[in-house]
Amino acid sequence: MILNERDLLERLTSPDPQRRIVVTPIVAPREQFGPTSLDIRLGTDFKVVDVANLTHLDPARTMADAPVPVRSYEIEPGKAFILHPGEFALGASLEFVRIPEDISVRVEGRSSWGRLGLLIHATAGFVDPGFSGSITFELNNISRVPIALYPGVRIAQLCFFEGRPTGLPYDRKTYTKYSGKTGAYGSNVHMDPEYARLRRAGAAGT
Amino acid sequence: MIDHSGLPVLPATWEAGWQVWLRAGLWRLGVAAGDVGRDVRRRMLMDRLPDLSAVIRADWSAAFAGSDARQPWATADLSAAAGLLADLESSLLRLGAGVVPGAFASLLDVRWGDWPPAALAPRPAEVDPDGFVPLPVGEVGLPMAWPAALAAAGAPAAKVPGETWLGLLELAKGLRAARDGVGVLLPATQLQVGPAVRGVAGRLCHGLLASALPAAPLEDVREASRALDEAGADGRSALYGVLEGLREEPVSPWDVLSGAWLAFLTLRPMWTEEALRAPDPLTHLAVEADAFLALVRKSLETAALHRLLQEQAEEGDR
Repeated sequence: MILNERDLLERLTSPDPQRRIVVTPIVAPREQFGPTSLDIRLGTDFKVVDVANLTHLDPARTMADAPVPVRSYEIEPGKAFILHPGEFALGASLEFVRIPEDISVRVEGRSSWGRLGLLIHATAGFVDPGFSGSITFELNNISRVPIALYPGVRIAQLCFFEGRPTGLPYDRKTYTKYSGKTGAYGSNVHMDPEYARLRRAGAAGT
Repeated sequence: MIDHSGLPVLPATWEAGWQVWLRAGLWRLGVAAGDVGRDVRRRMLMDRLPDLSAVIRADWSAAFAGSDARQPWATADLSAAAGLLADLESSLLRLGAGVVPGAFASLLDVRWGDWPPAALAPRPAEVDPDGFVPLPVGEVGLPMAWPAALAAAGAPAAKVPGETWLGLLELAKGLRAARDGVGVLLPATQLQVGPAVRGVAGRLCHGLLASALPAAPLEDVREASRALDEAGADGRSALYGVLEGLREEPVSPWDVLSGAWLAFLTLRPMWTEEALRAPDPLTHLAVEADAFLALVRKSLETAALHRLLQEQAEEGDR
């Protein structure tokens, strides 16, 4: 069941920590609440892969031996991060969220941004029950003109789905790579056990 | 080892290293707790500093080469913590010791006791329009002299690791006191713990961002929501009125840092207890400290942006 604004209100104020959804800060509820969604804002952290000396990304080899060269940008409030056509960057939400074990979340773009050619996630638009931290955006400009992104603007929306409580909440999974993170975090795919097996087998890095 | 509260504590020297480490982190955050523009500029400058700490750590390690290698804290732990201290010193010097007076000094003075005796703060006349203090270049190299000074003193502490810390801290204190051309001693004040500080501490203790607190008690919002349901009202304005109760107000940098310290005092026994059961206690503490500091830093940044958004909204409404 998708939560509407009344359900969300009940969850955001619930005295029961097992039921409570945390989204903080809520800056302007009138602007942020939709019928079945809550808008979230762009934070100040951005990361862009520095491709100048990079031939390719190999999670099994390159990322395990040395971190992927990433440029970090802290954009001062009031200033803009310019996302050029075709460029990919990681951003983070201003908000910090904590999701209870019976709630899953979809991160969706806002149509106003979609009409300008801005995608806010490449493929990871799902937040597991039990997750806490900032939401990472996978920003991609598919238009033909650069887009100025200002920290603090509403850039995405969260849609909450209620289900039975999971026995495998995100923060207690065996392989949890992003729980509790508070900024734009790069990929930790090389920590997946498949790549450890590949490395042991010597099959990676061709 | 059990302290008076019945909780296990780390050996004294570990505790000292751990405390210095976290305090150094909080101090760094204090440097970044100015207004929005300065905050970002300072942090960017800090990120661009050359990595002096590696050099300094190497020097520290050499100074303690005679330590008893069987004592883990006599070498790696100590040099890492000392490196952080030195790194912090050089960062502060390069940044012009731009600690915000009144915001962080009180926090430090009350809880740090004799170490450090005060935050370095610029005299008003020395501050440029951007909040930076020009410093003589020679001052920047000062921390590099610490290991040499220890060695010149015969490094007696190296033979008695428990006293090493005291020696280091005394030396650092002396260096700070000698630097009277740069900083002034801020008066100690009482740490005032109001509802905002307690609210911040509570959030941080639960691993939550603490940049803002509810503008209205959540019980009131729940009650308003129930009243809305019972009245069967479905008007948009009535609903928005209830939702508006969820609005949060940003907290000040002072509240974030004071709350962080309060939270740390609460969390430390738990972290320590867990660390003592972990295979590598210091790594365990490092992970906890890093996550905690990241949350505090994000709280400061988010509060700054939140304030700006509020100001823009107020200007727009006028």
